[in-house]
Amino acid sequence: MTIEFERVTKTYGGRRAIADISFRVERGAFCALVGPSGAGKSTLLRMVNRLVPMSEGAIRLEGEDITRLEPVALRRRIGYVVQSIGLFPHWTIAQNIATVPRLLHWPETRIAERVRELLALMRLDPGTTAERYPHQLSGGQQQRVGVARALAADPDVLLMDEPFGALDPITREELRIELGRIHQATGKTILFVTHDIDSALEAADVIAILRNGALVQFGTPAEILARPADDFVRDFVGGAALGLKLLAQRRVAERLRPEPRPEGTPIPGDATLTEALSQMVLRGTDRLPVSDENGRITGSVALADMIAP
Amino acid sequence: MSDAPRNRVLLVLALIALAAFLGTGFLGLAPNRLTSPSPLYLWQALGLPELTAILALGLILGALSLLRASPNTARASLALGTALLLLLLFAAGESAARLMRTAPPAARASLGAAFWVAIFCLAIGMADALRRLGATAVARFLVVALIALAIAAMARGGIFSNLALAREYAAHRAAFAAALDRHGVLVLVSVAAALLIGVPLGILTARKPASAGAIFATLNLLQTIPSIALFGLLIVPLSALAAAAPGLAALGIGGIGPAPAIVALVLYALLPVVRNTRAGIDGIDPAIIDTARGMGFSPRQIFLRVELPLGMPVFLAGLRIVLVQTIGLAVVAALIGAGGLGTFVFQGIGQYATDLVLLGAIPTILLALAADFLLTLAIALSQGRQA
Repeated sequence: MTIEFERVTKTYGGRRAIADISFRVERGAFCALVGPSGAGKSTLLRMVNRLVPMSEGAIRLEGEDITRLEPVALRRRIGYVVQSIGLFPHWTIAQNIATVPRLLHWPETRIAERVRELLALMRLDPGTTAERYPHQLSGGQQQRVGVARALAADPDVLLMDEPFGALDPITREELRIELGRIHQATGKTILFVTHDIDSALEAADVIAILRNGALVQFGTPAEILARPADDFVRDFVGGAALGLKLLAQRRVAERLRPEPRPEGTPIPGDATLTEALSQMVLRGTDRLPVSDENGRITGSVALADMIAP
Repeated sequence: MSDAPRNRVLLVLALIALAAFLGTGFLGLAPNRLTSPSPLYLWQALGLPELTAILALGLILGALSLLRASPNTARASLALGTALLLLLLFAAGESAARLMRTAPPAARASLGAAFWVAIFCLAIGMADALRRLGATAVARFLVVALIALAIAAMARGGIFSNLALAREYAAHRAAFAAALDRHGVLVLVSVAAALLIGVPLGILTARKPASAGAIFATLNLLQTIPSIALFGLLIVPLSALAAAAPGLAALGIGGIGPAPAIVALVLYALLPVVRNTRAGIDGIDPAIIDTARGMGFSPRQIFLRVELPLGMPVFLAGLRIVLVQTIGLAVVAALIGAGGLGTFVFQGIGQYATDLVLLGAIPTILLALAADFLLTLAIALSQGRQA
């Protein structure tokens, strides 16, 4: 489902919390909304499922204006995950996951099957997890349930508000990878609020950078790193490390030369240029052999080519 | 061993009970129901077997308080306390029967101060033992229910029938059943009406905090009016209402009787109902409500499936306060002709017949305790599965 923001504005008592934001997220894209706290990321996200009413402008899902839809029905078509997870403490994990299918009056057998599917998808053991209560699970497991619950009725759009923000770094990384895998597998359109620019650069297809309620830049990670719109974006996305982050966006194969083919252990073509640079520093060389997925040497990558724009 | 932690609560209770036995009568004997009884001390009132058994159990309980406190001493004091409680009740009944065999028919054998103090100390000691054992609400409920059943069985067996209280009961048997009935109706109707009015008001104050100020100011003000005054104050408007609308008067609504009593009881019950309804809703993690909305719960579904079950322990705590309070306050309703157990209390005060006062007071206390216990159990069960 495409998501289109057109001149979206939100005023609170005369102050513009969201000012004139327009951009378009393609079907199946992973879009990160980033910016410092107070930039209006969550407000913008919550306008999509009408938890926050819009003051001006329009949001369209697959071309359909959301204000023409009934809010309750709209929300049942959109997955919603938040940092505080918000599992129902009086329901078992299975009941929590079944929330939206129950609201939609799915038959019980279909619900049970869907719950099993989602537990497996989120790598939760159905035998030990399904009948437990949320407080018996770790924070990471709880958020896995939170994501499973959001996916339950197979919505086309997933709204995620700093979903992994309260987890420890290891669990957060684990769940981010998990989410990437699910995104690949399901092709959902995802709007993902985060203040962590690095995870956005790593995971997102497109990034919307917000500041003081305005959209300062919208583009792919590579575009933003290569051409930051202003000094704020430059500092926000990388500052001094901007060049290295740009290298991390590019693959060795993009800068491959068929000749010469120096001696040594080859680096795979799908490695990032940051990894190639790291190898060059370690080996004290400015040129590395490159191999394809079958391990065949296909050429080499040179430092001079890597740092070319 | 000398500085080991002892059960000081038990020691103090044992000393209080001992002082009561030495200083006041276990039973009282009066020539008739209207005169003050003269005290009979424990050793005067009881036969040798009962006296020996009570002293032995009492001494062991006292000695337990000198031991190092452990789950075993707590279990022992619970068992011994139960035994002593039932024994004291049995001995009181037996002694009264023995006294009444030789006394003139109008004489009355009543329970003395030492009896009540001892029962009170035992109840506290047993509650303390249950707390030390970390007993769950269900376990506490079972212990108390078993003891209550044992006492009820003793009463059915006629063991207490020679006590003055039982004589008063026998003399007022029909009136007692009617009064108990009426008391129950007053309480249930008032609490039901308070819930019908108070729960929506509580939801309103939770949804629109701006409304809370005025609502709570009014309910707090009502709460400060002394109950007798409120019952009296309602006579005038309700009489006027009944005079203006004869249809209402035909329904039994008037300045005196159950109508003003129920109105007053409802007014007093509103504050705890409204306050706990609001607290129950406000106490729920806002993130849970937010995600419920975000997933497409309608406002009605949020209330029924999220707020109601999650707020239940707090709502039930409010219901518990309201039930206990209304059972007690309904006694005063007898003053304006509403009937209920208060009838005996005020008749007894008027006749200077203490046992008649007790005939109204003791069932009231037992009803309140039973309501308290059942609701505490319900609260524990409603919390059971949550963190």
